[in-house]
Amino acid sequence: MKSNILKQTLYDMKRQPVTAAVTLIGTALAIFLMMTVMMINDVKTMPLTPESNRDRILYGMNMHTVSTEDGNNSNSSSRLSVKSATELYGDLEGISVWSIYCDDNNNIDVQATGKTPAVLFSRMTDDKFWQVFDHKFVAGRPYDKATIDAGDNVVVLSEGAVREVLECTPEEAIGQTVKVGQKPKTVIGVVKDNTPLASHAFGEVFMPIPKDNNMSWDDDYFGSVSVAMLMEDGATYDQIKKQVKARYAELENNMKATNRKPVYHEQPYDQLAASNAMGSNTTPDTESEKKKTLMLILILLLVPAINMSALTQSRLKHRTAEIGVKRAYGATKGRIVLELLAENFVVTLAGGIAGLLLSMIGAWLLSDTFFAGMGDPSNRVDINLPINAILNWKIFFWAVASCFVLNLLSAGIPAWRASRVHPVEALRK
Amino acid sequence: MNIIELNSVGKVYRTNTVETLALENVNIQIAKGEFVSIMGPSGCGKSTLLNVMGLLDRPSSGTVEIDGKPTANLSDKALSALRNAKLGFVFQSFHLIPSLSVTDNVELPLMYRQGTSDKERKARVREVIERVGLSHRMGHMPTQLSGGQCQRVAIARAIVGNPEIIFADEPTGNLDSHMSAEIMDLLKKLNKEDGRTIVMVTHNELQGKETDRIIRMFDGHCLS
Repeated sequence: MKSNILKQTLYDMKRQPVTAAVTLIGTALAIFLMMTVMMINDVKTMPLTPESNRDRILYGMNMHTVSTEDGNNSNSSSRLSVKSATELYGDLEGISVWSIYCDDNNNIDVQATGKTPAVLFSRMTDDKFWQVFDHKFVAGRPYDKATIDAGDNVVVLSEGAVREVLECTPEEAIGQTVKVGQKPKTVIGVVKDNTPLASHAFGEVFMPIPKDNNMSWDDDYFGSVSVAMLMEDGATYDQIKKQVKARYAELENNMKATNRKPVYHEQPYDQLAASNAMGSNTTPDTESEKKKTLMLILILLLVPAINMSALTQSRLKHRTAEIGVKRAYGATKGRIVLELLAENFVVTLAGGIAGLLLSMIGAWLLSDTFFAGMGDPSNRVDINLPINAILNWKIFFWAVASCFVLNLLSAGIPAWRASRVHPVEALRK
Repeated sequence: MNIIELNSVGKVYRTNTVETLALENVNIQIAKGEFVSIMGPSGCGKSTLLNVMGLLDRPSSGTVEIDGKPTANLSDKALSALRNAKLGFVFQSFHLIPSLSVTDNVELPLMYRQGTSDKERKARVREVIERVGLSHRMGHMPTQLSGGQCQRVAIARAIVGNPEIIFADEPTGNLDSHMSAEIMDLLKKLNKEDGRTIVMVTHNELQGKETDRIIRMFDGHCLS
């Protein structure tokens, strides 16, 4: 039967080449658009080096306070200060390691002696940053607590930054001095180029947060850092949230004298919530984002499906007598529907594979356009799309599932109608 | 023993404005192994009668029994299974599936039958194609065959499932006299050698006379 389905499909395509071509191209474009949406959506949550542990990293990102005075609607919001980050997220039960790092975009001039300065994406971090995120060192080492405590002016560069600023190999870069925002710093490590899609870990220049940092204001509650935490095996998101909520209650108590109270906003965020965080004074609405994506995908499937349904209907009209013969020889209506869906699925799958390949090639070649603004709003840095963003089982699964749904949508009704034609009527055709 | 029995069968086709009486009070008994032809002028209800007997259409009134089994209350699924097990069909315009080869066309009824292995199917298909004298055309497509050969393929398809009854609706209607004679010989052979019951609609008086009995129809009534 399987071979008959293939034979029938090929025969149909040969007999009606224009219809077949339109169906194939329509399917390919529908799957291309859908897979592009899926990929863009997927890179927000899939493991991407150096955020390889996205499934167990949690983020404390914002501080938001509101006035408790009657009639006073004032509120303040920003990133965390080191103090509030430590008070709210430090040493939680179920967290193996946590890191404080600057999460804001920070382009900075970096210059080697006698060379042209380059504007690079910098990030200040603590020493634990290298444990939460798995940057690959190609030369040198990360800075540790002792280095930070000693106040050493050190810097870790990406391979691309080394090429651009020092014009040498990573090994040759170690020990050299570069001016970072006019401050001389010694290069102690070089990491592989990383993608801006890993927006919390991405950077070209990494420096320690100074011990005497003055990156806080407003009673030391607000600042410019975030917290990334790595959950232990067996720990649950709810368990962590519960602890943070309790700390927020404690903070609220401590802030009473200031006539303000902190707003919890369901922190810490998991990867999905963090990727949907729109501002420091709102709670990420992941459900609404999921619904929007689902709606978009449905529209992308439904529109071509309606058009292709008409084509399938006209194709099946030529086969009414054949369906009558099959019914006469014992095929049930359900069997007829299954056969017709299977035949159509072959075409949809062929178009779907073409669409999937198109979306993969497109994502690879045009990644800077496809993922524009994600992680690097300036669009200056190459996306460096990791291969697992394109080649992963989830993408293949969704492509096949989409073909299946598209097949049902485009051929379901025509197949059902064809199976309902009375055998006697069908045999008269 | 009667393998087909129609009692007081009526068939009315209704549209919004018109009601057409295709069969009225038809009573027919056909014995096992009989070769019966149905004759009558165009529009007298021959094909309708064949469709009702072949369980392709339900009567508006009366009962149809196949091999002693009443069919009135059978579901569509049960009717499909009964057609597959006991009935074979040969059509005037052959109705071969153009995308499939001779072998695949003949195999079709077995595809809708449970419990037949691939090996058994292939062997059975080969056997019946040889029987109708087309073993040299097994891989051919219907467009590569003559009308007579197409009808032989259709007959092979009708007998591949080893049905007890074959319904043939003007099987020689699209063939020249030479090919018609060949097809008639083949049907007679299936009747005599295998003991299959054959019910054939024909306009050809000579062919009718070659069968065991002629049922004559006129205006939806059975005359003999």
